Amino acid sequence: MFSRRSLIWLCLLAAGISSLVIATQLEGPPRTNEDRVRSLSEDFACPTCDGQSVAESNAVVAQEIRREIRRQVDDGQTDEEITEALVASYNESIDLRPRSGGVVGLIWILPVVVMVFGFAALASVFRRWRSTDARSASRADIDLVESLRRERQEQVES
Amino acid sequence: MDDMDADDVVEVELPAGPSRLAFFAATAVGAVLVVLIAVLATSDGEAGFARSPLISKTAPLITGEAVDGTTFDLDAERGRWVVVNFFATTCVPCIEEHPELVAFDEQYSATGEASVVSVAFSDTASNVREFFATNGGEWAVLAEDTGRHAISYGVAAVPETYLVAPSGIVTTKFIGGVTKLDIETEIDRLNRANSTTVVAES
Repeated sequence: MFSRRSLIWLCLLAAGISSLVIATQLEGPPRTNEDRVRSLSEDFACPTCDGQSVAESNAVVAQEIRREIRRQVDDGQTDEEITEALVASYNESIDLRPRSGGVVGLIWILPVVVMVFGFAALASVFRRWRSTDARSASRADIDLVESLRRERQEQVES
Repeated sequence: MDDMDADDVVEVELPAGPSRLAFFAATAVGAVLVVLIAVLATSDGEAGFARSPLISKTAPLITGEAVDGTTFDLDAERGRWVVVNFFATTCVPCIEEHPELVAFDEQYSATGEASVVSVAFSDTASNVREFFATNGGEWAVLAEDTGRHAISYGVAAVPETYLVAPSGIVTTKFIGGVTKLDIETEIDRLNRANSTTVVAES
């Protein structure tokens, strides 16, 4: 019973991991320069707009940044080089991609840590509940019930 | 009644252990969430684009053909202060600050203490020529293919003006229109700071 249930959980886990892997693998690197310009433009914030990316905005500066990205892509620069250059000019606020360090990193790490500890705590609670269930049917309990019933029987009879 | 008593004893004792663990787990999760919310609520998400990462760094290259046909190279200006002005002919604050730049240039370019260079942002050479013919100004003006210069300086919206020290280091970014006095005050301040550092070092 227990091993069958854990088998189901393992299957679910395997299905989840493999679908994640497939999802990330399918979305390979964009191929044409046009694709790269579009996806890079989506990664940068328009400096004069509120909450719009360089790709979405029609502001003059967004058009100029798109043109500059286009020029650098055609020059054969990598996505990292283009990002570094823009961050060096405008500072890291222009980079819309989530960062992994500092306070921002907490947002990514904390839920994972909380999830792991939460599941571990739940698993431990459930296990304890199950083992107390088993104990409730122990020899001593059965004897106790038996003796109580016998006592009552005697009281009723007397 | 006796049966009920026996059940009660069993039920009260059972959850004591696990529920304590559940209580600690819930407290821990709650505490983490409170900290996370506090950190995010107090962090200045709007710090934004005002602070320029170029300050105290070598000024990005500006080279190209000026609208009068001469070649401009920012590196050739080393040894004097350079006022790098990004503008557009259609921008009202740019039109308003222009006489201030003219006055600054007239006073300091003759002595070689400072020079001005203007870089048009998303504009045309013919507009720029007309603008300078109307409003004056005798310094180098770049108008063609200037987007890369503006982007390398981190220009968000014109007018923006950068002050480059004689050593070629960017010292100051002015957002919005500048006055002659703004630039003079800043150069004075930096010259004084520089001389005290030199005294302190010697």
